[in-house]
Amino acid sequence: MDAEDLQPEESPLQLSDAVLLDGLRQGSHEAFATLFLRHYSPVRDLLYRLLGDVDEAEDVAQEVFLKLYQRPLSSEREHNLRAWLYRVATNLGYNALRAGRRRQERDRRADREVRQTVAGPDALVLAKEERRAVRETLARLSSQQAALLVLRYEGLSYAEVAAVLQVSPRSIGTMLARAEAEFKRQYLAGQKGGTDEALS
Amino acid sequence: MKRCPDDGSLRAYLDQELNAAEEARLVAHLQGCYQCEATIQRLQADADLVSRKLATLNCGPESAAMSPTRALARFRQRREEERVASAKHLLWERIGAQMKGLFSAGWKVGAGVAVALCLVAVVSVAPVRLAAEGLLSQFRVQTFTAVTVDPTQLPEPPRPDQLGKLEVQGSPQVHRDVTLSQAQGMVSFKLKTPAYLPAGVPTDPRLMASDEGRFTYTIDGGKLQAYLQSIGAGDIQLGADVGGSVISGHVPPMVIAIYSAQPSRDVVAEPEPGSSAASTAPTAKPSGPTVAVIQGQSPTFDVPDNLTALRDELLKSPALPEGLAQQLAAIQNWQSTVPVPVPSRADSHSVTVHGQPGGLVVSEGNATVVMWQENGIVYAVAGDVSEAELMKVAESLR
Repeated sequence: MDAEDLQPEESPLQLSDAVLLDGLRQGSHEAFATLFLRHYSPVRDLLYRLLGDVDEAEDVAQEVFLKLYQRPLSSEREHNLRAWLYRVATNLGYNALRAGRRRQERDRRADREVRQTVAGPDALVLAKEERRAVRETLARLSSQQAALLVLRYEGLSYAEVAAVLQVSPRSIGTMLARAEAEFKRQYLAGQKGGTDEALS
Repeated sequence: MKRCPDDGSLRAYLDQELNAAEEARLVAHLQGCYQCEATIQRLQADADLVSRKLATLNCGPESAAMSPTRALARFRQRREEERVASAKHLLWERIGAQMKGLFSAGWKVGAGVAVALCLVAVVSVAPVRLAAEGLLSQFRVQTFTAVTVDPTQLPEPPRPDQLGKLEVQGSPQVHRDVTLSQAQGMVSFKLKTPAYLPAGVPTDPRLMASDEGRFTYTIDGGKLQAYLQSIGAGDIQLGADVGGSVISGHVPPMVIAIYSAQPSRDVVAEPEPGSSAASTAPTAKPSGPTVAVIQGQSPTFDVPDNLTALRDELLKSPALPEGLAQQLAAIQNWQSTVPVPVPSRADSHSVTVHGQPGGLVVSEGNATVVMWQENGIVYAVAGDVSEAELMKVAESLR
């Protein structure tokens, strides 16, 4: 581990996002660095949950911040940076998730073949397969539904999720109920079409 | 019994996202509604399933993941790599920017000097231009030589009005979209066209031509001294007669043929106010290769001798980076050799084109330009193609 890893990750500056965004718009590298350090981890963790691959999550997180860097959100239309970052992250992450779906299905077939040739399914393999099934299910939902579930699971309030998805907070309950029902349907369909492992 | 609440309200109730009044109403309703009770159970089961399944994704990346500080370092490193990679397009952009300047400002004051050395200026840096065009007794393009420069080390280039006064005689124009016969009618030599073009390059060019122009540039001694001061060459003593010295220039007509599948506005875009050759703003990359052929008689400049003495002084001055001054000083026939400033990361080497030595190829990434002189005509061929391809185009000019 490098020495810099040991440094505290919190930003030394307690300037608000809005102030830092103003700085970023004026080309301040320091403002960008502060925003990056402040928001990187949650964004990366969200993407990791979605993608299940550290490298890929980090790559997409870099892309998210590149978008911020290239085009700092305009002050009039957008003032919630966290919501903006989560929105961009879920969009990019969802695209990456879908793009990875084919690859994952191929991996899964290969894994299954391997498992048939060895003694019994080992717990690690099962857990891995389960995660893959969950991600495949997310990939089959609409991007909004997938984002909704992941963000809600992250612990965002209805108001926060609504800000990310740019919908009314009043509609979150209904959207969530639908998304969860759809997730269940798709997940079970995937299980039926895949292996016989029951849902736990 | 009151109407049952919708699923959304029930779901929000489970998450305690209803306000107090809504929640009280809903609780009251649930007391006697089995249907809603069942719905709630279904919603809860769905939510639990999702939550359980998403929890399997929980094993965090902490172990293998990099810290935000490292991630930021990586972010910066990538931007730097991109900056270097985008330098691939810098040469092309500079060519584009020069052409933009040429075809928008045309012959107007300010563009005059740039126009005069457009062939050279594709990669030029003003202080070198100063040495090349401002301080020569009789300047005529015969050969080209590369001068390696680090743009970050060069002093601030002078604006045309910063050293004196530029006067253009008449009002020479730049004509867009001329026909080949119109262009031919404007020049006193036979225009050449490439017999070979790389694959994907349309054979039908857009032609542009500039009028012949004459200009005088009257040095303002005070301004020149102030400029030298500003670049750290204030110790150079100007003779009393330098002020009022007149450089006169003659720029014969020039024809530019652009072979590109791109709409013209993408190749030679309207400049934005304040844009300059130094701009690093990314420009739209043409989808197919573009090749430009530029030809015109050599421009000439007459410069009083009292100004030519300034060249030696300037070369000795610490204002120019040492390596650059040495390279300039090493040029033997400096009255006929164009020092083409080439960024240190670009490749350049001398070539013989059409049997003429003294040509120069400059490549930066996928952009290449070759320039040479033949029978008093200066040619430049530029394109975002390989050097080999570009040389084939150059050699195929007939």
